[in-house]
Amino acid sequence: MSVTTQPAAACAAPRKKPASVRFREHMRRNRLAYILLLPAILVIAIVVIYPFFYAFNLAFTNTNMYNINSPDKTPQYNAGANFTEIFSDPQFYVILGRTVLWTVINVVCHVSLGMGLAILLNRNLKIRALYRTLLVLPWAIPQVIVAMMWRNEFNTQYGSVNLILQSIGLPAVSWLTNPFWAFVAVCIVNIWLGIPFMMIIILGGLQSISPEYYEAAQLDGATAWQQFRRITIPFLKPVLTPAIVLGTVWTFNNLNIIYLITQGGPNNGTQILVTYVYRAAFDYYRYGYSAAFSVIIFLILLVFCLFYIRATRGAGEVT
Amino acid sequence: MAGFFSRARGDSPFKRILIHLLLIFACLVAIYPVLRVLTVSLRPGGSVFSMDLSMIPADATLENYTQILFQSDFWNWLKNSLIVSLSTALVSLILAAPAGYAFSRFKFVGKQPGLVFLLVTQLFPATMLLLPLYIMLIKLSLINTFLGLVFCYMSISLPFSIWILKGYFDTIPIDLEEAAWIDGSTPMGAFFRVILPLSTPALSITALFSFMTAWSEYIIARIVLQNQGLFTWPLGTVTLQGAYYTNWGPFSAAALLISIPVVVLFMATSRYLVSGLTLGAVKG
Amino acid sequence: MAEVKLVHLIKDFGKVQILKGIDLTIPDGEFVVLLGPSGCGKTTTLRLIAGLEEVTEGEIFIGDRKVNNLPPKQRDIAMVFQSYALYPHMTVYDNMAFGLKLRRVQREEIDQKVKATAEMMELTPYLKRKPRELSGGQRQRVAVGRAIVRNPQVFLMDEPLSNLDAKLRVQMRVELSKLHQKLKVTTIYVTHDQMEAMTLGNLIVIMNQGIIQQMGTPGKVYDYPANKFVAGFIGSPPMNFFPAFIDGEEEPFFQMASFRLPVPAQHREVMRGYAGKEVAFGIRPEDITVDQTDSEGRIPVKAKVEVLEMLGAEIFLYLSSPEEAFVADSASEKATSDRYLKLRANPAHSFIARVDPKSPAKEGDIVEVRFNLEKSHAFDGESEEAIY
Repeated sequence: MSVTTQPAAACAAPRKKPASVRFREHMRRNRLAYILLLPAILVIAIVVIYPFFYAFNLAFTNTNMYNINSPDKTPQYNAGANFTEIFSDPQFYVILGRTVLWTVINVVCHVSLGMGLAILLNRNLKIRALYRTLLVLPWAIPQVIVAMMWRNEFNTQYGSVNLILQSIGLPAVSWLTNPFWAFVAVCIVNIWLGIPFMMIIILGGLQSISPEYYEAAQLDGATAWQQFRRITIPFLKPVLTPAIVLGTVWTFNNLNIIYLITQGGPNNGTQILVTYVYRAAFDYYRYGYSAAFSVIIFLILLVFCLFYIRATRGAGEVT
Repeated sequence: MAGFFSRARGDSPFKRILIHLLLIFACLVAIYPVLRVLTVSLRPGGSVFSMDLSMIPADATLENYTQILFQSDFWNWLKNSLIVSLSTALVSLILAAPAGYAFSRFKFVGKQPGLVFLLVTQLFPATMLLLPLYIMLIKLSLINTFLGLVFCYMSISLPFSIWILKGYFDTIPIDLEEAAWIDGSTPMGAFFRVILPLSTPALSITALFSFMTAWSEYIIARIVLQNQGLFTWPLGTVTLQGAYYTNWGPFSAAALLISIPVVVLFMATSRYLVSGLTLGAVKG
Repeated sequence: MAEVKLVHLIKDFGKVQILKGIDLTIPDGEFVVLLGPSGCGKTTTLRLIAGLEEVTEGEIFIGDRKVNNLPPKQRDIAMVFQSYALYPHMTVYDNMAFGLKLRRVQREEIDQKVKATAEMMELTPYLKRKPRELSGGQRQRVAVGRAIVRNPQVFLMDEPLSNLDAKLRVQMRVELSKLHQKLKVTTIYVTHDQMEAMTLGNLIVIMNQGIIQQMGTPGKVYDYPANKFVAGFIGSPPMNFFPAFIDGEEEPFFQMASFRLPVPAQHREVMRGYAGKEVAFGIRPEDITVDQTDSEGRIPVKAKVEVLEMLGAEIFLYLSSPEEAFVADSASEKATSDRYLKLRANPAHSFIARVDPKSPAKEGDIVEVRFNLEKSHAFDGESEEAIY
């Protein structure tokens, strides 16, 4: 019985095995993983991976509806002409700016109003479940219905929005025919739609904070604001960070609301990047151009996410 | 004000009233547009365009509902939507459950990049995949088929389902599989006889969300289905409304009829979706 | 039932070597306890035997079969997990029947076996319940029942009692003991609780840092620890160690920082070889007596009672030997030696005595303690191996 050292064992550091042996061992141990993955990977390859690369390829061609299936005119590579066109079009920058504005307005309102409601709900109220159910309603309704419903309510003459404005003595607004007011209108709809998601996420986060932290802070004489700043926000961070990233991406890419309410109009006044490219692809049939545009949108979001993740990690997150 | 942001135990009566007033106002804002749909759906054909703001119109009638139920393609739309949504949910689940399990339990070549890729798909603008898929469908003559539409929906629901299920499987202790191996089952057997039966709640929720994604989808369906006989209900209802002539009454009736079951399902399950999302996202 | 044999077993996890060559033969029908602190490799050893981890090097035999490359299901073993790992979606009956069903045992036979086992484990009233409807103790029984119903060659138990409260743990310990006497199946039991190990095992294997430190009966490892680690790990409160060096030519003695004790006569021969070398003097708390009239001519040592713990049947005294109390025979020329200075650098030494509750000692008292040198131990200062 030896004690601290055993010569044979001490020098028996892990040896490198030949690659072929390691491969066989890996396959024996993990064969099941590949079997389980295979069907999903095949389908993902067809419906996601291939189209993904196809989109990149398409982005460098002049493909459109007229040459895609025509015998005499075939799509040609056009040496990045689509990208040149997009970046030299002043409208691109206008739409990009509007998209950023749209995203910021929506996400800020979703988070702040969602947090406000979550804080109100996070206490012992007898009818809390009822409040919660009613407040979640906008999220539960199919977005097509939401959009159509609000489009009706923004009708200048018969829509309830103007009827209510008039009943309290304000002038009627021509919501969907004036570019500025149309943008306000779609923002209102999307804010209305997106609050419940943030509210539920934040409420879940709030409920996981032990009341003892607040009690301890109150004993230390912390004000309500200090408690919010020093306890609530740090504890919410792990749920809030992914929710904000998701919310931003979803809002940036939100096609349904604007397309169904204004189709980007009037006069392109509510166009954001996705609605613009959707119309270019399926109303104007410019496939190569739209693919290039899609790639640009994707890259913008990718860069945003990388920066956001780096920034939040850099802030010294406690894991 | 102390404790305003916390779970207050002894709120003053004034503060309680204030909180209730704020919440009631928020609830009104949340449900008012929906109630308006109800109101409009009860109006008789002649008075659709009305400046009336009362909840139940004086001349309330079920005329719009009978028109929708008996004189439109409503039932056909519903049937089409059911076929597409059920197929999407079922196929996603069958493919995603084993894949999610592999991601949760095994080490394999490309696991980490694979997980990142599943997340990156969330960044794609709708047209990114839709346009190539549309061109593929044309070339494969799958335009105007349910199969083609289900294909497109898979590109959304499959990555999402794998991610959610992986997150759920991560919460099941590996001891259970080890016990099953020792009890005499193969690794595959442990998955089918222990893990899957244990995951029925998560599996049904995942299937439900794939179902609801397909059920309410308009933007893609509009591209893939051009034949009116194949329309799913979102396409049908939007045509009902018409682009310029606003057929408010029947549209509202149809919208309500179709929303109620989805809303109820959603209310019952939203909690789980949120936990699934944050679970996966926090870990990623 | 079968013998289990491990031949120079090595396990690496990445670059870390968890097991550094385990050689162990577990005779057929024995109840063997693998004991050690967390991270010592005891659970890894168990999981290698079960086939839940792959062997890096070495061989495992169950009976006559080499099982290195057999999957768990072909090893004819059963395991009780720390978490019990009961299938939450199955009833107690189905949990126990699962293994038999997988082995395609006839339905009637399954029924008869499960019911007999349930009877033995006093689970009959709970057969239709799901695990979450059971108490901790009941779940534990189901886990054990699930293992024994299959009548395997070897039982593997991974800290099966650690999730129970103290009282239930003692009760289950007795039941496991009885069960083993009845079934006589080779059992390998992993624990970090030395009380459990001492009471359950016919044989105890003490492990540390991936190496077997000692294997033997509970009495042997307690009375004749092979090295300082085993001596310190077995026994509660643990053995007291005093750094010392050996002095005196004909009648060697232990020179501690502030006192000296003679080497017992029967060990003088071996200790002469350690003259001038560093050793550790070890004595168990129960081999220290306090304030007795000098029996058998033991040498008194003064110590201060720092803390007194009354346990009812006995008292633990936390003692210290203060520097100024006794600098015995410091005139000796040895006092100048380096080693002595090293010992003197940290002269105050605390140790524990386990004494009769009638002892009049009080906290703060200076008492005279005596060591039962016949029961003392000595360990090599460098290798930490036991000298005697």
